[in-house]
Amino acid sequence: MSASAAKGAVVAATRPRRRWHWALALPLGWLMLVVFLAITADWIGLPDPSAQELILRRKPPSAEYLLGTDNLGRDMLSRIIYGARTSLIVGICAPFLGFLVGGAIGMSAGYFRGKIDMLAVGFIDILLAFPSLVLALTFTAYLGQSLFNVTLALGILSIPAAARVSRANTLAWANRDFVLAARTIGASNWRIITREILPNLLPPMFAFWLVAISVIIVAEGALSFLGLGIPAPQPSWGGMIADGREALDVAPYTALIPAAVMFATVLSLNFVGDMVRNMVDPRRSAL
Amino acid sequence: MSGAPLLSVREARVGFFTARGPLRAVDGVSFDLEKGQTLGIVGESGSGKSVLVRSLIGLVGESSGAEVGGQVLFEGRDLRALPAREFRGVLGRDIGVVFQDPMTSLNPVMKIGHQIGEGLRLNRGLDARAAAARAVELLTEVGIPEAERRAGQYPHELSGGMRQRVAIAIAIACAPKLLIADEPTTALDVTVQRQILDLLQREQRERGMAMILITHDLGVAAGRADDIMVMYAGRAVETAKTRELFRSPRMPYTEALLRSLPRLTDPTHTRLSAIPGRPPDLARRSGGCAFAPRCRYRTDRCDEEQPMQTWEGARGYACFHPRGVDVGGSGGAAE
Ligand SMILES: Nc1ncnc2c1ncn2[C@@H]1O[C@H](COP(=O)(O)OP(=O)(O)OP(=O)(O)O)[C@@H](O)[C@H]1O
Ligand code: SF4
Ligand SMILES: [Mg+2]
Repeated sequence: MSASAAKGAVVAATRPRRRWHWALALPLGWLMLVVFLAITADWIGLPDPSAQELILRRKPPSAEYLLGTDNLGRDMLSRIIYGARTSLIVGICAPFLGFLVGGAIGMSAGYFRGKIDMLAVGFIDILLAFPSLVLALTFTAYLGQSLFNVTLALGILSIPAAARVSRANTLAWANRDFVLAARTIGASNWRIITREILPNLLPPMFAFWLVAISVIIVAEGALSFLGLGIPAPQPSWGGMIADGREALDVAPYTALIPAAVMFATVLSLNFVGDMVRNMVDPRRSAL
Repeated sequence: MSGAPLLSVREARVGFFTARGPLRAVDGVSFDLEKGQTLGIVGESGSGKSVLVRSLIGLVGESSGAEVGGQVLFEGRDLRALPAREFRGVLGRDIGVVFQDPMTSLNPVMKIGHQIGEGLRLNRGLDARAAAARAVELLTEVGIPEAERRAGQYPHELSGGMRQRVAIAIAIACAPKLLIADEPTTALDVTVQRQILDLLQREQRERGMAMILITHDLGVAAGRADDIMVMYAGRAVETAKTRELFRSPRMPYTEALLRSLPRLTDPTHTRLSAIPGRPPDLARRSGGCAFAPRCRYRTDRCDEEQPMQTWEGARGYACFHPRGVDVGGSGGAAE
């Protein structure tokens, strides 16, 4: 009896666990709401986020202005929602860019080892040696502030992390027997990398990407806060916090609301990212 | 035997550079394997069986930080001199490999039908549909019921025994001339071990494949191998026809292995004589016979000199004091 119980435990331990935690409903719900509003912002009858009404500046939240108005009398709710759009575009695209480049570097390094690995690791270390925010600041200051340039700058910043994650995971997978088995049926390196290793790399990369989105959202906020992020009329959470800072004493909500929204979003992303990472942990799924 | 052997290995050597210094995992192993024959490679854990066969098919080599030497002829072609592309062709078409642990030898995110068909698409030019159909036939052939449905499943949906059957189907898909099975049953339940070995043997006979069957159990090799090569500390210490090996082992290590086998004629609960002592540390090898510390026939010469392989026809052993032979002077070094 104990033998069969032990065997059951082994079977359970080797199956990848996909357990659903009810506690994740909240962060998931929040993220879905943010994404939904960011996508539908144009069609839900929001006032123009850039329309100034100086007489109505710094109105506290009310029935008419659910989240109040800012220093220039612009509707905060509208700005938050359009700001979510900006944050999500940068937050999703920048790491994607970084993961494309960094992922390729990391996979080549982890698969081929040797000289390629040394070169890749050196390159990653050099990128990491630059103070990241300074690099992004220089980049946008030099090339000009635009959504594209900010995304590009933050994308480059996410290359080293992505390269490290993909290199570590490739190292772990490349010596698995099924990769050797693929070689014994005559598969080329390219085929092994794309067909055998890459599919196994996607789950951990996806988990890491979720976390990277949150990091990039914060970084974009910092850039905007320093005045080198998304250019002025376009709303972004970081920019809103920066604007609200001027009126912290008279109208603290103008800074606190975007800060709270950013906080909730980043926290939710981290929760969900952690959950996904636990689900795809290669140590758990012994397959 | 007539004609050139299917596989001919000469002085195979594999060295690793470890944190504790260089290590000779395989040290001058030679053997021939004829078409349709089965060679059993037997030895304790760490004796270099896996490293040897993996180095033959390029899975252990410069790219994995190992130093590889010797010559490997497959159908007279020097495998190590082949350009990468041709080598992949030989590997894919003519050599099939079954690994020890079917938990790790199948791709967890690829349907098993697809994994079986992959080699056919790659090496035999089958299109996706033909490969998928052939995969189902192969699954049936290796004894998996409801093959059609199973082909669409992922490895984690199968038991260990079934996975090993799938791994065998993958290995034989392209009708190889040589099947290498590296401890194909060690990771499995005792009850299915025999089934898998029988399956391997059946496939080998029906298809006329040659097979290298690696095991640390001389009993497993006994009924299934035509020849047996016993490995100890990276060297082939005895090579012989299976029957001759069992009838009169030459090398004391083989003798000790045989003595540790359970026999049907033994009364139940007979204590098997395990070989006392442990295999040597490969990174700290002395000059003499590697088995000397555990050998009951050891002499001073054994500690000082490495016994070379001595051949009596197709039968070889590396020992200064072989059993069952009038020693005289014949135990000396060859060439
Ligand atoms: N990549 C490596 N780097 C360094 N040493 C290695 C490496 N691979 C194997 N070895 C060493 O080579 C020796 C032979 O290992 P090998 O796996 O061939 O043994 P084996 O006979 O197959 O044993 P088992 O029955 O456990 O499979 C061992 O001492 C092992 O530690
Ligand atoms: S050479 Fe000497 S130590 Fe080695 S196996 Fe033979 S008798 Fe034993
Ligand atoms: Mg082994």
